[in-house]
Amino acid sequence: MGVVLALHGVSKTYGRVQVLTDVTFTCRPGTITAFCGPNGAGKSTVLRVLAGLTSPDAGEALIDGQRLSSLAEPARSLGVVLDASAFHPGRTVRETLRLGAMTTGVSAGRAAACAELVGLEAVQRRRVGQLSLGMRQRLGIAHALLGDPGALVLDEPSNGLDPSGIVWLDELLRSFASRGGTVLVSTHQLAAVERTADRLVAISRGEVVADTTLAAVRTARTRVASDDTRLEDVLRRAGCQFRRTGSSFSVEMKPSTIGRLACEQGIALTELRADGLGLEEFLAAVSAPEYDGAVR
Amino acid sequence: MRMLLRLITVEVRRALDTRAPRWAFVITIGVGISLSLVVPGGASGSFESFVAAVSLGLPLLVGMLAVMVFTTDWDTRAALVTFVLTPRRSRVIVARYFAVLALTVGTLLTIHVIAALLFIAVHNEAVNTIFTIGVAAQMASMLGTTVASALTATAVASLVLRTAPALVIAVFAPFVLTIALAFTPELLVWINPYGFAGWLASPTLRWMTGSSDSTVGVGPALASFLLWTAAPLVLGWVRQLRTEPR
Repeated sequence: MGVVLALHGVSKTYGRVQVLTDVTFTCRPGTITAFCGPNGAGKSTVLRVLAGLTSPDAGEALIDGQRLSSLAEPARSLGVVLDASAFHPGRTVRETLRLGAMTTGVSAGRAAACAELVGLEAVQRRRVGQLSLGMRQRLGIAHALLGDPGALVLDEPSNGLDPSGIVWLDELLRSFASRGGTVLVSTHQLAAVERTADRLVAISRGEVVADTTLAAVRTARTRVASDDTRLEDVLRRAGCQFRRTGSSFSVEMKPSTIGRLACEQGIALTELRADGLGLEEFLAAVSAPEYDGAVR
Repeated sequence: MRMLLRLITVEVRRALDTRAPRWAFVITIGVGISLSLVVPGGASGSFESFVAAVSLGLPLLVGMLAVMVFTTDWDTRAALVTFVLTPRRSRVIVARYFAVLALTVGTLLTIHVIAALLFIAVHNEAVNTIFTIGVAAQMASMLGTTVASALTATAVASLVLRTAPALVIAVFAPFVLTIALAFTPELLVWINPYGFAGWLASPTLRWMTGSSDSTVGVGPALASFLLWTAAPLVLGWVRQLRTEPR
């Protein structure tokens, strides 16, 4: 089901402003990749390049090794929601989805099924202009799912969703990924990233500054303590970076490695736990300190 | 080919599934029928004169539909959705040309059918004037004029990509000017003191005023076609391919 989304060396300039510089990362089937970064970092531009709306100056965006425009039925490979307010306000929900289904080459029944999947079956006769932002988000997701694509690219999909809607979205994305689908989701909702994402790609000032797993972010540091004064020497000899905080150490090493070292030296530990950075701290650490208006 | 047919169907449906085109259709037909009652020979003459009166607003209606086919997406930001579903934009643009053609022919036929039904209701005794060579010839002439009008509207709309200015430039301004010139011919001397209007006037204006290429000359006709149709079509094609939907 899933397809591989890949960006290779994508660069983009608007006028004199370098918006993206050599952006490279890959999203694999069965995973949810969170795409984070400060406002104006270039996230939306990257998603637009993936969706074929913006042509990069250099590099390429590939869907299973092919450019989106070269696919015979693009909507069956990639579903995209970039702006939930980009539907014609005068059309009904039903008509919007039927037009999408016709364009995609799927049946009207599929349109109805997608409306039901996102919980819009009761408002199908309502015009898009009368929908709340949360409902429009759901419509956008239904529209993206019409072609039963192998990958989803979503830009801030939880905007406007109420708490139950956010939970619903988490479950939908997890279910999609568990069936082998590929998800790339741009978001500022770090709690949602913690709950659902497998990987994290961070971008700052148009450059990818982190491409890692959530697990790696969480276990980047270990908190360790012992009454045995030899522990500091052991850590120093292991050549790892560490910082003393009171009676414990914050060490840039996996807990299992520290545990093995302590065991080999016969050091009894009183504390040993993953002390990963919070996502906010991590992103703040890898991102440029402030937005300078360089990106549209 | 199947993909193109699918996209043409989508574009025709999109052109008609909102309130604006439906009201435009109702108003145009309504005004046409009203005019047929006041135009000399409209209500009491043959079907030829009756349908001519009912169809007075046809170029206006078709021009509006053509403009909306090309601009609505950009006005409402729905282009973002359209081009995500069909990233190869040239397919969408070609489908829109065919959709405008289909809408033009469909609208012409619909108006004739409505006019025929009305005519039968009003002049039962003159039913035999409906199916004549004269009506067929008039219909063919009307089709040419309407397609040409739609083509100019399409060209301007695809270049401007905004509904309001495209309607004003390609549809309303020529229509208003035509009416103004019909009532005050001396206006032409005032707006065209050096006689350049023949070279610069939009084809829509010329078709509406009934001037044929033989009376304006091949040079001015060609210049007008290049200025109002060919150039905007080419530039509009490039613009639609390059403009980033926002």
